[in-house]
Amino acid sequence: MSGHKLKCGLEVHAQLLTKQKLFSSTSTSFHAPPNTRVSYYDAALPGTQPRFNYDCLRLALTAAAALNCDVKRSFSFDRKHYMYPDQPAGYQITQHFEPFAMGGFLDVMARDYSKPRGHPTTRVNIKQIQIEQDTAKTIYVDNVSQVDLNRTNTGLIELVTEPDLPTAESAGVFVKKLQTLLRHLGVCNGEMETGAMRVDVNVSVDDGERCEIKNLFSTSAVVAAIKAEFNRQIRDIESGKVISSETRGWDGKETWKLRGKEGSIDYRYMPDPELPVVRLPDSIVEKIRRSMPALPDQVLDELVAAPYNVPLVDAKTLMDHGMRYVNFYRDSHALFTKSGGKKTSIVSNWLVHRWLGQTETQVFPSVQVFTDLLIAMDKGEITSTSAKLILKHLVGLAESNELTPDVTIKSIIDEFDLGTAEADDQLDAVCAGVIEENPDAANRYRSGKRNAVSFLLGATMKATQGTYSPAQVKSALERLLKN
Amino acid sequence: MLRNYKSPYESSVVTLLKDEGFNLIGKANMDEFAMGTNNTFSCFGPTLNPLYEEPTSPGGSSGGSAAAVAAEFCDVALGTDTGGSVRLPAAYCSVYGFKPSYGLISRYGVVSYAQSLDTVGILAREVKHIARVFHVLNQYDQRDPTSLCPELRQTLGSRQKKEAKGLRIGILSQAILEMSPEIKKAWAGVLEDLQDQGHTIHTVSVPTMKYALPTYFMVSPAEASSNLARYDGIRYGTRAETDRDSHDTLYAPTRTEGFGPEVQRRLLLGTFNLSAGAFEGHFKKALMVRRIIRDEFNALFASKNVLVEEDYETGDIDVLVHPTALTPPPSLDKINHGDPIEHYTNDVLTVPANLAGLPAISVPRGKGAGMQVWGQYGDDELVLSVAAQISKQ
Repeated sequence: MSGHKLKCGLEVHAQLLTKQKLFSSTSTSFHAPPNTRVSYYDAALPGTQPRFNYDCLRLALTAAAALNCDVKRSFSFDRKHYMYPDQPAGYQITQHFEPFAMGGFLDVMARDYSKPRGHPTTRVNIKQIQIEQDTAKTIYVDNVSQVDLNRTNTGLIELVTEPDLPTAESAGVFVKKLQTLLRHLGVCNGEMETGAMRVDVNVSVDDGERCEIKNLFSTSAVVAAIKAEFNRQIRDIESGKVISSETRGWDGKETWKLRGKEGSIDYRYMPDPELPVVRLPDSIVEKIRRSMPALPDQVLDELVAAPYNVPLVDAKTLMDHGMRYVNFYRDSHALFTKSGGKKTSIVSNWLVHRWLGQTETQVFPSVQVFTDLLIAMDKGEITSTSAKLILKHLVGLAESNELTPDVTIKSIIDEFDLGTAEADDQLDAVCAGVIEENPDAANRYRSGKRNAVSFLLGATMKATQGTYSPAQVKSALERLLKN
Repeated sequence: MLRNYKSPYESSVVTLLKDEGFNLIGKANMDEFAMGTNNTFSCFGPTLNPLYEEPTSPGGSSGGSAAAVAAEFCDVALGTDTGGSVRLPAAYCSVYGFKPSYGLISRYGVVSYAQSLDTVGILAREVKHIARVFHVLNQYDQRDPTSLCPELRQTLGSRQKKEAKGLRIGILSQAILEMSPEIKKAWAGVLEDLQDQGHTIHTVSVPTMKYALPTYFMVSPAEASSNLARYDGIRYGTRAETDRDSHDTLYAPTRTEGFGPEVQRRLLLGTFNLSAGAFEGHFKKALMVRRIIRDEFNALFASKNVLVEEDYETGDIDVLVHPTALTPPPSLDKINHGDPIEHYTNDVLTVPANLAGLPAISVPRGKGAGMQVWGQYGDDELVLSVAAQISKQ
């Protein structure tokens, strides 16, 4: 675009999914009534002291290992000072002088884009990851700011990338990929709309000064803000202005100046004088790496290859929904194959499009029930029309929480009388009626236009409402038309 | 700032004492946020030294505690010692004031001034009372991240007990300063007594100790400026009326009204020390000097510092003995007409023990004078034993 070179780097804050806060034993809760998850320490009462929650460390180390970072054998915490109602102690505990992890990477590959064609693989280098405290939340009601301390002292990791992202789209894809990865590992739920994950971007054009855009609450906002900022800087450069380093906001259409370098805050960083140095055993990162599940990229590799051969887009959908769904798929595929099912592609197809595509419910049929349905269809015991009806029925049961263990495919087939009937006189009678009502089509068939049977087939299927399989109907029609 | 604030929870030290059957009779006056050496910076007014007719300093910051013990209101009092705040009042009020090794007594519930130096201290008229209370409070507390861990407590406990006989006692050449004649005389008397009891006296040197005072005034106000940032009047404590309405202010009037002059002085100094321009040259350098001071003390003492993992060459000194303050307590009149900064030098012979985390006790020796006994980190019992051998006279 326009011969100007864009460079983006990201700063991502991700809330750690721990039961307790970073430096107190208060429970984390993201939907509790305001100021009900606050300990004396969280409210910064005099005489209270921090206590490091090692569960936060475990999650932070998991993220660092998955992102190929070097983890420090020992590290400490620092205080970053600024006074604001959302910061009860007047400082945030972070890792300014010594981030616990440095120098990792995450590759953005062609297949990570929604339209993979033509995209190169971009290696996004991770400069550092640090552990820090979240702030409280300020809510403005009628010009009065109200402070909710529930979020105070929740564990965060802040991840800083090098400016390795060459396009707005690649930045969006990176954020999505990181969300999937962190969610997959149980490090963070990845939700941007609730603020569990927050992204700031640094944008520079033609290697000039960089501008930071703060508080982008969705992947699409990340992409749109980078595009808008890129265009703004190009406009300014081309009209002879000098781009200066500043912090900017995003209003959904344009970026706007929040503060310049002259307004930058002196955070008066200081090593925390009471938190002990954290020392890690040499083997800890290896240990964590070994206990980690297969990463999303590996899972995707597996799904698109034999024996699964799931189409890439469906494999990505499964991955986006989480490992629960991927595992469900694999189990169903195994059962389907074991039971002699032939057309294995229906397993991913029906799971992705006919289940995940139809409902938001988290309730699931058992692998057995779901696979039994596909097997019954594969073996011709029910028609695909009936199978679709049964699946809809299952969705309904799931959504109303009535999907009990005694629900089996056999019981549904019997209950609704959906089994494929033997071809019989009744079918012949319906077929004869259809032929009589559609003399044009019948004549075309008889004159050698074999395709004309499909029209008659459709009409008969409609009339019999899926009692007979298409193959049964077709052979009956062809037999009667020859007479 | 916290005049009407009542803590909703109890500190670990108070709980431990209550559980042991001690009666808590009240809170004592002190310098605001433990900043001061004469107990004149209190929103309740100054504490007076019970030993003197003329209004005289009881020492600070835990001056109320020392005065209460000296006036026999109670047998024992607690205080905190960040740069000498228990020992100096003990000396001025002629009682014992003990600052244990850093991290032995829990700080949970102690309002932080500079927590890399803050230590809970004990004041009493008898060493045995100090020891009794110390044994109750010397417990690991998981709520205090600086509490010495159980493993190292065990290491200290299993170390062979040194009997307080035939010790090698050091006098720091850096402590030989200009001092009042009565203090000098008291020091000489104590050293003679100790020699008579079979100990030997040796002059030793901690060259970097001459930088201890400036180091202390880099580190402690910096930590204080961080710790006191929470007092903004929003969640608790005093709040200025102008901060409650829409005057576009939020904290500044609250902090200007709520903090006394000495606290404001130290907060400004600390804020400067941590600012981007001063951090490297002031604060960071001070941390380096502090480390050197600690190493120099380690090289002096015969017992090894258990906090140092590496091996190093130990010295041959068991304890150090020198005065707590260079003069007897000043009168309030003199204080009111002097430069507030002048009193910072009162801490010159107390702060090195805080910077190095060493156990130190001030032993009364005559009216308004105290002699300190310092030992290696963890040699608290030895320090108390030596203190018991020095007569009060």
